[in-house]
Amino acid sequence: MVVVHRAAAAAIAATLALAVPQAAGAGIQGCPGEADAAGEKVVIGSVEELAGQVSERLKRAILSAFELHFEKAEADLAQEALIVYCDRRRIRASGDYNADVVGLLNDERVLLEVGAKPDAQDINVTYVVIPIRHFAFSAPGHNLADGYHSAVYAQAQISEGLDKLFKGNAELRLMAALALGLRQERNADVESDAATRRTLMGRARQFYCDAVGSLEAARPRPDFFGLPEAEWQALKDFAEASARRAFEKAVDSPSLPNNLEVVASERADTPGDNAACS
Amino acid sequence: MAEANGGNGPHSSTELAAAITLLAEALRPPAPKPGSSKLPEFFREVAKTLLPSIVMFGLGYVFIQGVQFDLQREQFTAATADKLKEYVKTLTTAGAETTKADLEATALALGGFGGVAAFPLIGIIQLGGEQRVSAAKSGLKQAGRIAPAATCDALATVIDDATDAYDWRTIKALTEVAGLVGCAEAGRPIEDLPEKIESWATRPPPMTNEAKAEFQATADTALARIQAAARRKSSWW
Repeated sequence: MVVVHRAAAAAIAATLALAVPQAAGAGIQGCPGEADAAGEKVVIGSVEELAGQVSERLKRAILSAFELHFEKAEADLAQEALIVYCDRRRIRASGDYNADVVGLLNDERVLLEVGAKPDAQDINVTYVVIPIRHFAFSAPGHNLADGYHSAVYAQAQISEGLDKLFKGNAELRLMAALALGLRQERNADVESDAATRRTLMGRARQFYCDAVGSLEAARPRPDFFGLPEAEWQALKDFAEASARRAFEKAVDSPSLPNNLEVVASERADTPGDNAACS
Repeated sequence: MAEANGGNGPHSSTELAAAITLLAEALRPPAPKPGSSKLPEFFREVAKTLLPSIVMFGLGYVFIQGVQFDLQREQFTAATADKLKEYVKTLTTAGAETTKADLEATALALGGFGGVAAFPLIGIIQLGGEQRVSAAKSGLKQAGRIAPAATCDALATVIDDATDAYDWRTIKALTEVAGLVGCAEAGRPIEDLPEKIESWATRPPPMTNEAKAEFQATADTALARIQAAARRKSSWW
């Protein structure tokens, strides 16, 4: 017989409800308080999982590479996103980033989550592009990128030269640009003010074109692991389709005709041949 | 003298004596029939002797059972409190090593306590953390299925809260759960949300246009589910 006395039950509930810390806003698990700040965020998970799996020297080297590359990335992204180092956060398996979890991270304005895990003799660098994954759940049926991407790097090659990790930042830039583009586009879609909508859509198109321009640098090469060919292709398709969609929206919208030009500085180092970004 | 007193002399006295004799005979209990048992009498005597003891035993038994029930109830309540506390602690202190499966299992077990678990689970949602919140929403749905009245009352109270004790992310999560459970009580507070969403957008934590639109869509979906649940309930009768 499972009958709890009502008064006792109410007392338990009240006590436990009070026992739960009521501080709101610690939205991103395992991250410091700065993650609660307004604005877009790139979340870097802990590399502690590498402890015991790779030599201490290599672990420190990878951590340095993370910091080096993200410092470099921060210079590029500083205007757009806050880079948050989360020592108590680990990248999880793809299945853990379900619609519910990704929806919450999207509400927290997370653009990208990055983490490293050991994988036999390799190091697996995983990127979760939150807006793309959120979009994949909210618009089922599209067969482009799913927002969960892993790039494999051989430990031996990392030891030889850390500058190759993240392919000289191209992967990070590609994914951050796609995330920013999609976030701006979705904000533009629901914006009622014409001038703001025009600005947002213009920025979305700039980011998509930046991503298209980063594709070649992020392309997997036979001598280096990096992203699997299929995942790179999916990201390429997504970037090109998104740039095309933003271009079409701009053409279709009478409020956006003055925003079509994309100057060279808006693209990454290697301009793409995508017509929507010409 | 006897005549003076209304008597009829010596003749009358004889008759009176005979009448008294007859009356005494009539009032005398019947003599036991030859061969009949004295057993009922024996049992009556035994019953008379034991009855107070039996009554005392019965009353004592009822009293002891009542005390035992109270003790068991108190023990159960204490054990429940311990379990609830353990589950809440697991959810609130979850770290990077806590798997999603562990969080889900704990939240579902907590939700299994029904209405008692509603406010602790709401507190966990307010605490934040995407994996934790996702699990707590599952627990709250579980509580809503087991004890819809108490859980829906808690959900409606928080969705309708005007004290700013809960942020928009918590209200959004609870709106979704209220829709999935089919809480009729939450219908009116959810109808009032559009106005509140506009006011929340201007204060921290920040809310993008996309988040505003998604919150509105969540509220619309929840209302549609609540209405569908109400139709399903009434169509039976």
